[in-house]
Amino acid sequence: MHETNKLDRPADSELLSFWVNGQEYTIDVMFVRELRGWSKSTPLPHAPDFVHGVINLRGTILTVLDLACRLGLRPINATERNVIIVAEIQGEIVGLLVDRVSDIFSIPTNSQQALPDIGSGSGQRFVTAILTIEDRLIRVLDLNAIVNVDAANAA
Amino acid sequence: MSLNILAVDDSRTMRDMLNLALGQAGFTTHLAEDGEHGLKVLTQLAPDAIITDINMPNLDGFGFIDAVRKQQKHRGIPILVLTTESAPELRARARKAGATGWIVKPFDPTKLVQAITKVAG
Amino acid sequence: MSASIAEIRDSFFQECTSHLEALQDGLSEIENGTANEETIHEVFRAVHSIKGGAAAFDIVTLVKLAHRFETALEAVRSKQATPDKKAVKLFLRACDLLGDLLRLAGTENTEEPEGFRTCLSELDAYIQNNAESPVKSKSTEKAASNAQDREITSVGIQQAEPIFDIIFEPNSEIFPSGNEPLYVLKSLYELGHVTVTCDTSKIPCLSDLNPETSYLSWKVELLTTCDLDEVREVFDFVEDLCVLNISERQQAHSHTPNLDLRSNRVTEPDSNAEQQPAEPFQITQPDALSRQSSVKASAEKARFESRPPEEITAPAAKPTVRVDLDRVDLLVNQIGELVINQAVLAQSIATTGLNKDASIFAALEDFSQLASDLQDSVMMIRAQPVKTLFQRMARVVRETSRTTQKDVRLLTEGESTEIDKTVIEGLFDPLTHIIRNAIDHGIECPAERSECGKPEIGEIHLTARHKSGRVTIEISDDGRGINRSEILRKAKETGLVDQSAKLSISEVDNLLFLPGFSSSNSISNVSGRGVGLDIVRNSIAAMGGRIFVTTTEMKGTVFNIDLPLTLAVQDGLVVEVSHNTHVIPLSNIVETLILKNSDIHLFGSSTKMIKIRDKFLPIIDLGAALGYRKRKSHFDGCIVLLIAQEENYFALIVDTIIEQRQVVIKALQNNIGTCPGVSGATILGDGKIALILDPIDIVKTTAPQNRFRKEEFSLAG
Repeated sequence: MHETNKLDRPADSELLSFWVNGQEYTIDVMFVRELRGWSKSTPLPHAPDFVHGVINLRGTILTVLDLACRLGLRPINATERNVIIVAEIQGEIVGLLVDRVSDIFSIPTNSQQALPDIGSGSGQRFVTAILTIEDRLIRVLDLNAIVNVDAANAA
Repeated sequence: MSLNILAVDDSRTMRDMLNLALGQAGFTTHLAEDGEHGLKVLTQLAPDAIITDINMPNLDGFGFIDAVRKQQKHRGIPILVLTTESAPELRARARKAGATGWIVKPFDPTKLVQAITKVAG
Repeated sequence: MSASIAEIRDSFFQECTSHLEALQDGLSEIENGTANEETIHEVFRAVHSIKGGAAAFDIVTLVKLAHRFETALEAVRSKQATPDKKAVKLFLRACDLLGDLLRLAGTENTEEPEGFRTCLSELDAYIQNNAESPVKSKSTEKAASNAQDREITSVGIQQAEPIFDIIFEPNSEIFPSGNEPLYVLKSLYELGHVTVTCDTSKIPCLSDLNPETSYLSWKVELLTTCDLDEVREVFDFVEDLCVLNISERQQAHSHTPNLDLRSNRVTEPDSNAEQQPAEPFQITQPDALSRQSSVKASAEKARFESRPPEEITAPAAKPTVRVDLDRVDLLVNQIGELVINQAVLAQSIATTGLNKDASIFAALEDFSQLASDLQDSVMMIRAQPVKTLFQRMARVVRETSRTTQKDVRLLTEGESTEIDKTVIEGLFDPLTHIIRNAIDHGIECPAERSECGKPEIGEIHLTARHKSGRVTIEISDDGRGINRSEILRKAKETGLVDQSAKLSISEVDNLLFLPGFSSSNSISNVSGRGVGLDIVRNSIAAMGGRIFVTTTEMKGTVFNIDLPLTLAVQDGLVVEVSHNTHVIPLSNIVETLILKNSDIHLFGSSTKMIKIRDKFLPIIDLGAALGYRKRKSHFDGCIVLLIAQEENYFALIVDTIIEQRQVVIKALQNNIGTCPGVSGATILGDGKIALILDPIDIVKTTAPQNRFRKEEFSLAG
């Protein structure tokens, strides 16, 4: 499932790509701790709606975020086929609930295209750049923006 | 071949400092916490010199030196006492107890080495 | 590998805490009259050790105090007299100041703490009054001896390289003292150019030779840039064991010695008779000495009967190891996870349907027991005896007594009781506050006490003990107690309690913990405005503990603090609410009940309350409060937990009570903000997560229609 696409030029970063609600996103693998299949999580009462719940990760309580919801899309109706990406962001571990994981590929960092000013919806502020790989439009996710919750974003 | 020094002091800090200074000067240091412990170490070790504090629990410096001098194996061993002042009464008392020389606390590492050289070579 | 100076300094400060402890113990014993002979020595040694280290690290203020303190104690020690009450108080103050100075020094702060100068001069006064011989200063002594030396040497020290003529004749005492003339002479070589002549004329024939006596003497010519004192210093240890003569020979300017660097000899045109070619003796002299030494050694063997070395056992000091607190915390966490894992394993195996007699179950049980024991042991690693806490309280008592001019004694019990280090630290402020209050407001001044027939010295009892997995701390005083009617009056006046409310005795007493409460009409400097007890209760609650007070007028007041042994685990009630499992800390729960329809009363249009023993309590549906369901309308047969929030009670509805157990607290990640009402989480035996709730928080944040309204309470009144 994880093919490595090598391009002509020497690689600078390795990226993991995944699907959320029909859109493809990607993050640098250095943030990824592990990938887990979805298992029923414990809900957190009165938490923002993008907080899917908490799961037991070998004795640690892992907070799982519904990435679709966080991006302003429809919340995920999770089943065993969904994937939780366990990521380490800003020194803390958090789980990201996505539809499925697709690829790992290497690209030179400077091939990331700056974000065109489309002026679209709320998902915009979580994307730092757009990649074009084999005619696929892949959005580079800003993990810091995902986890930084301020008053405006909180439910 | 470095000289073996036995340092006896109930203060851990003092032991650490002696260990540091002596080690840096190339001596091999052995440590004991008080007179009784020092005597026990001496059953296993014949050091080239002994440095001892006076005020210690269980067996104080004077008692320790006295006991050491009574042992034929260690009769002539150089023993330096750590004193806080170089008052003549203290020196006289130390001499009477059988001390070879003295080191004033807090000790200057150079003087410490000098003292050891004067008595143990 | 020897430790660096910084590490030794750190370990010095740590060592000093045990010295201070020993010092305080000893002084307390002297104060109580329970001291023995050894006590004053222990006290002296403690101060002596602190002084030694302080001098080594150049902590000036500490050295100043420690030195005087030591001298004062030496006066006591040598006189073998017991210091009087005033002296003991002085010593205790000095002890407290030593503690302050050490704390300041630890942060590289060189300022002088309050009372420092006063204590110094008081110690000086004590020394003057009690010293057996006039205290001589070192400097005058040294000057005197220097003056003596100067008489020997010729007048006018020359800047050009002088020559010292040294005559060194060791006596019979030199070898028994452990000194070795060879090494002394060798040290001279370090100072400059040396020419040595040995006089062997006194060596008797072998049969008369006593190997322990020195028969040799030496004349040395030393060419050096060092001064007389430095030359003299070489002979420091043997000065009293020999005939020593050091004279400085003047060099005329035109007179330059011929320095023959190869042979380390100085030849002078007009050399005196003593300066004979020394080579033969230079070579043989060390040999003569070493021969003499070896002769001495073998003679020793022959002359003295061998005695078996005495068997001395080392002191039975408890060996300790210093460990980073982080490592301990990590260990505590890992053990917690092991316990959880073991529970998960047990559960999985139970569901496999294996024959109950299978040996696997016996092994599992053993595993369970082992894991549990392991957890207990690890939990106690961070545990420390409360003794240090009690000693600090003793100091609080001393200081507060001084400032309020009352005479108060602290009696302690159970100081070896062990509690988690963080809990001990968390108790410092609350206990200080309670004790200050007790002395300031509780204990009467001596005159008033005698009038009541009480002894003039007030007493505060501080006890600690373990009880069924928890720790109980009790602080009681024998003061005037708290005027109950006054409390009630004040509470009603400020509206904290309703005018017509009827409260039980203990309810009135515990009103003291309400915020904004002060029974003191005057503002006292010591304990602030007497309003701190609510903060005290919060601090205790934050550690998972509870505090109660009982007072008896004219007799005194007792504070009871109940605490968990450690903060990493909590006793909780595992409950189910809307198919979700949660844990409610036991310390919040007063009682559990099953509701009957007859308990439920309607107020206003929609507010239902339950009546329990003449009190009306609001009902909160936990399922609704957590957002799992809409509020229940029928409560018949529901299980209710009575939650205490300060003086208010609430009834919390849950679906089922599963069990009561100890849970390992796991923190929730903070990155997505905290959830109201949730204080943490734990992992149950089946691997499922159960959120640990904070019922007080839930009550506070629950939507108004679920909340208690004060007017309705008074209506029900």
